[in-house]
Amino acid sequence: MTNLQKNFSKIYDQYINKIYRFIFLKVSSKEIAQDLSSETFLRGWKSFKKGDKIDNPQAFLYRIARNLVIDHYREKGKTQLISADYVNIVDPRINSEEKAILSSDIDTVKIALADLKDSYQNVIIWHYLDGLSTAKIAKMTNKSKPAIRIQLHRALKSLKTKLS
Amino acid sequence: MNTDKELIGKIRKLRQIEPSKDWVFLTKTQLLGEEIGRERISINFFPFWKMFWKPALVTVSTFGVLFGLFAFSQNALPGELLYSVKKMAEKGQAVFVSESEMPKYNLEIANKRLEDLNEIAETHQGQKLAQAIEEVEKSKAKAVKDISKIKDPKQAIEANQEIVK
Repeated sequence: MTNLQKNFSKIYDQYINKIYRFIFLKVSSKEIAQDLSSETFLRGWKSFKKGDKIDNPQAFLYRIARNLVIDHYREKGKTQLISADYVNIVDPRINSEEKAILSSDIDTVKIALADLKDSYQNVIIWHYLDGLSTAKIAKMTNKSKPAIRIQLHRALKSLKTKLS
Repeated sequence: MNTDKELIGKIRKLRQIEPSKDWVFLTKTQLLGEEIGRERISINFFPFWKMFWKPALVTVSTFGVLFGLFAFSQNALPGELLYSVKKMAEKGQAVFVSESEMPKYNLEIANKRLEDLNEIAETHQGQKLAQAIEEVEKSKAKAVKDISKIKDPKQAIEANQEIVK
């Protein structure tokens, strides 16, 4: 394996789950999320091979993923529908009562999150799910740290309203 | 009413959303495995056979697995695990198609998606129907988009006739 492949392999291992989840939360379909995630990494790999300067692979991959999701909805004028794919996202090791509670929690938050505007979804996913600091999100989106903090606050408030 | 802490706790539960491990592995093999194969076949290994027998064996095995995977995935239908492998293989082939041949290639893909849909309908696999229809629409939209780029009117008419068929 060449160094280039080794490096991209590490990037793939590090971000595949995050990119898949990011896309899945926006398209609500396992198949489409798989399709768009593989396309994200295919495009990333092509740029990487070409020797394009990629300072921040994470930001780069998220940018591709976001554009692909936008294209996906633009292509067919789709609306975000909630599919039955959520049923398989709960840990199979826990008992059925816990599973039911957890599943309902996840479904509720998932549906409410999908109903938020795109920029709010992004900051919530990046900060609370991927664990990115506001500084990193600010760098990734070319915004100031205070702007991200405000956006995060508004996003949470909006999510809370949807859930109440 | 949720407190911020409760709400954040609920959001974090979404971390359980993960792709299947099989898909993650297959996609990685598709992405980087082919590259490994292509690179290794270019090695002039005959005079150094004894020195390189291990990498050669790995290469042959990798090819064998990949070939088997490709061959097996060709019959995969939308909604099946190997379907994403089939699509990746098609995307890989598209890299070698010239720009002028791309509309024709995309038409062929659209026809394949229609065949998939027919097979699903004929074999009454209802659960796969929604994705199959989606795939048909997507491939058709892509083919139409490419046709609009054709400058030669004769070629464009031929391509349009194909779509009407």
